[in-house]
Amino acid sequence: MTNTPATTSAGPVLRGLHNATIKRNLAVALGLTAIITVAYKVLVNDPKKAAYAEFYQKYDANKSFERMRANGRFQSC
Amino acid sequence: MSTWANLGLQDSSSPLMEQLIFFHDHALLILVMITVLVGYLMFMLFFNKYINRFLLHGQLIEMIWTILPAIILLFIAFPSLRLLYLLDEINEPSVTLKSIGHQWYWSYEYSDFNNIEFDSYMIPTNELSNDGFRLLDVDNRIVLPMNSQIRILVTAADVIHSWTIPTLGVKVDGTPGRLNQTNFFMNRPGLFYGQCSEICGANHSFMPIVIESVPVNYFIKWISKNLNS
Repeated sequence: MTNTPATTSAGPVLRGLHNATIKRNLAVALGLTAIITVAYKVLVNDPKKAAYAEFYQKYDANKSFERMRANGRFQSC
Repeated sequence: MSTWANLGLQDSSSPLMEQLIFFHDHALLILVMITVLVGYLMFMLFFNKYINRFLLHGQLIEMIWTILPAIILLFIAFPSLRLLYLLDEINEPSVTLKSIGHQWYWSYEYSDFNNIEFDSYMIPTNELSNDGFRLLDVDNRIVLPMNSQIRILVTAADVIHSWTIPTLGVKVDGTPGRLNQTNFFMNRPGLFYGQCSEICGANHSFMPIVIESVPVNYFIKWISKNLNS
């Protein structure tokens, strides 16, 4: 009479170890990349474009020139 | 001009430089993305204990890491080519300036206007006024009209120099025996500084360039004043 175990356990997994782990790693990598890329675009790229657009919308070149000229910045005038 | 602790590009005074700045930001975004992705994957290598002594090939991963970079490069190439062609667009300049590099000063000629010519030397530090900029100010500045297309022809009399104004996105080598041409457009008044950008001897760092960008009517007054003197 042999002793049979109460439960049968699954054998050790010997194949596909790398692929199983890499799926989680890839998901984290792509997620992190997406978050940082979008954050850079929203916090750096877009504000800079908006700053330039806003500056030139209200910019009066002649007024700016007269201010500099009154200050004595120019040699020629 | 550059002020202390300036890390990035100077603020633009030209529409083309504005586009160059935006393209730089776009390219840097892609570089940040690649750095984060590769950096994370390399970091995770520290925690990988798997070994495969019989690994020979991985066709799927080879396909991925060939095609994905090609796609990323397309995202850089298209804006880059757009800007490249934009920089080369034909326009009709209203003023032509000739710039000749010497050891160690620049000379300028306005041939459109009865040959106005002058030399432009750096102001030595011991002669600088209290509100002057060290190694940047010059005795005779170039005066040019704003909101006008300017053509510049650059050459040199002795060794290779390079005429640069970062805020306008202009850098043109001056080579002896050769005329290099470029165009620029200033959309703001003010003073724009640059420095020689090709090693030319002992005082290479001491031959700066200063442009005074003024409205057209003031430019014409300055020209008339110089014609008469």
